[in-house]
Amino acid sequence: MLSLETVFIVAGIIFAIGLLGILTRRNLVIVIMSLELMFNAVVLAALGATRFTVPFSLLNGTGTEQALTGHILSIIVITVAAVETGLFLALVFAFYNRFKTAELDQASDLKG
Amino acid sequence: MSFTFVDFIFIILSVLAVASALLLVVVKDLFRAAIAFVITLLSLAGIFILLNAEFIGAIQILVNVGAVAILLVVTIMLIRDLSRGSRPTQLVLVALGFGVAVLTATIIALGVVDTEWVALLVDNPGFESAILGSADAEGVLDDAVGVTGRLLLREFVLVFEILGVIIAAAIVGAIAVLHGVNSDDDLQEREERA
Repeated sequence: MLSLETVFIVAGIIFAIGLLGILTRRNLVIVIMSLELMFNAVVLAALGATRFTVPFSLLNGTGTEQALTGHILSIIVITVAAVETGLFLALVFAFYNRFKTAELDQASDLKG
Repeated sequence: MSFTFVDFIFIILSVLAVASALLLVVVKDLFRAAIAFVITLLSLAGIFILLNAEFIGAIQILVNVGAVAILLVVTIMLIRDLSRGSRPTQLVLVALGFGVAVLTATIIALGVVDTEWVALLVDNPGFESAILGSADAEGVLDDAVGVTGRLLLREFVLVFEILGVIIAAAIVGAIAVLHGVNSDDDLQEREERA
């Protein structure tokens, strides 16, 4: 049951739910959380691929450590996601200060 | 296909992750959304640990559950409009977004099911014997933390450095964005409006 396919499918479902949140919700914080969900789905897929597949470097005998590049990718994605969330929340404060709302669709400076 | 205890845990964690992710997207109250977010992240950390990535699971709990979720909750509490909940979106747009999301999930699932993964899998007998000639993939996974650390500071040291620069740039950027926000003029203006 715990296999490459099931992990990928769970990751795909979580990715799609994050997409749903970004597309349908207008609240900024929910959009950030949905974005974070999509990042986490990518991390899950990378870790599943690392666990269940063998990279070609192992076959060539060039090095065993390349087997864990997915973990490096996960660390990068988690770091960038956290950094981006911090920056995004600063933007939420600036946004709220300017528009006095946290709803994305009310942030329009154009008339008409 | 045998059904083991690990599979049982995996199913429970997956269902929990997907259900709380759906709750996060659907629920109106932002505090409940944040709680659902934390539950999703924790279940995903559990799945990471099941995938022999204990270190990533620990990072997930430390960084995402410990820092990011708390940051989100603080933001929700600081901004008055946020804790009041959000307005519902138009039904047409919700249906459209739902359609796109279902389409994405279907395409991913079909692609995963249709692909011949077996040539790449660890469990493939022919492949396994080929690996045993050079190295043992399971052994690498057993020492995941050490291997990841060496990998990060040798082959991927440039990535490591760039991550540091990105973090510094983001901190400077956040300070620059917030510079002048919530100054006295704005507070007076807000009080006048209220």
